[in-house]
Amino acid sequence: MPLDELQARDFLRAFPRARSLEGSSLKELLLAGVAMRALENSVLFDAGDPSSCAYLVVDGVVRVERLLESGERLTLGRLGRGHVVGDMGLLSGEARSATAISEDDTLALRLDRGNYLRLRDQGHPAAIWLLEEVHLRMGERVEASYDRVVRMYEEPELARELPSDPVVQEGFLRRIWARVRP
Amino acid sequence: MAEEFLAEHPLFRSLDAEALAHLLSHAQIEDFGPAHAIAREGSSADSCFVLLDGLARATRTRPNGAQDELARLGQGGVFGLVGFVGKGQRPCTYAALGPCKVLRIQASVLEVPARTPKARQVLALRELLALALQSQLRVANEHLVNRAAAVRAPERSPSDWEALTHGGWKAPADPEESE
Repeated sequence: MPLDELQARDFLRAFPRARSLEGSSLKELLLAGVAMRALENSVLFDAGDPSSCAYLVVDGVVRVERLLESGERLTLGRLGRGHVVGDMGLLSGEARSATAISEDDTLALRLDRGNYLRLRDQGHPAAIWLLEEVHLRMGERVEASYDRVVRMYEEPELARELPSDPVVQEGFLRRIWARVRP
Repeated sequence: MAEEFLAEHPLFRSLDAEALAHLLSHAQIEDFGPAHAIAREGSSADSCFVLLDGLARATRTRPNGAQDELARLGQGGVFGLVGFVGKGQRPCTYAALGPCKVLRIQASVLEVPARTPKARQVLALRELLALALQSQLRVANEHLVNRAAAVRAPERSPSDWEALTHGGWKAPADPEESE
């Protein structure tokens, strides 16, 4: 089976709303991007990096995180199948505000800004679909952040995520325990 | 008034005259008095807003009914973007903190056929709205990062802890919102 057909099938499974695109438009979108596979724990981009592309996640999970001044890492979100990671790379080209790391082997369509702009300047249906998808997903992330902020104010310790590193986690749990039972 | 305002707005000024005219053909100016709700949490997000004048705030309701203030919006603030695409529900309430003049932009502004000159204008507008939403996400994430950093500060007295748990996040006394 040709790679682009395989991608189309997998892509539609990850991005079901893209079914609204005609086959030819979807194909143009897929050809505008490059399929890439990132191994577990690969850094897609680091905070501060210049941005010039976005990743449309077809399979796998990408963790988005920020480094705190204390040296600990705060997970801002986990973006899996059907999410667009690094969307600002398409829209503004501003430096990355967070780090993105693949948690699993991740399959994604990498779309460079230049190719996105070409679709946009045509008023291409794929560009309309992509911006809708970005807007919807971004809205979900804003709402999730609001929820988390509110929970952190209600239950600061319970609301935060456990660090994934077992050593850091142990220290974290010890501090929590000390607070609960001084 | 709105045309001149948007022509100088840091976000919308990049729109060309035709795109701006298209936007304004789907928008109207509305006035709100102090404490009046501009849009309510849970309602259909069938429009988004630009604050032309005044001060507003965004609040989210906890399960126990208490309200947390998420953000304050000043002149030029763009809000009501979550749910605007896809006609979802509003995640928070926006209320005027004093007399407010608001430009309400209807979601119909985005509905144009692809591969037309108008589609290019609307794509430019969609990009701007996505940028505004991204800015909102960054603010929310900064809030989260600052909050997490405060919670994780290694040395803290019980009074600091108490302040972190219960203080600093309280919204001002709830104004009596009216329709």
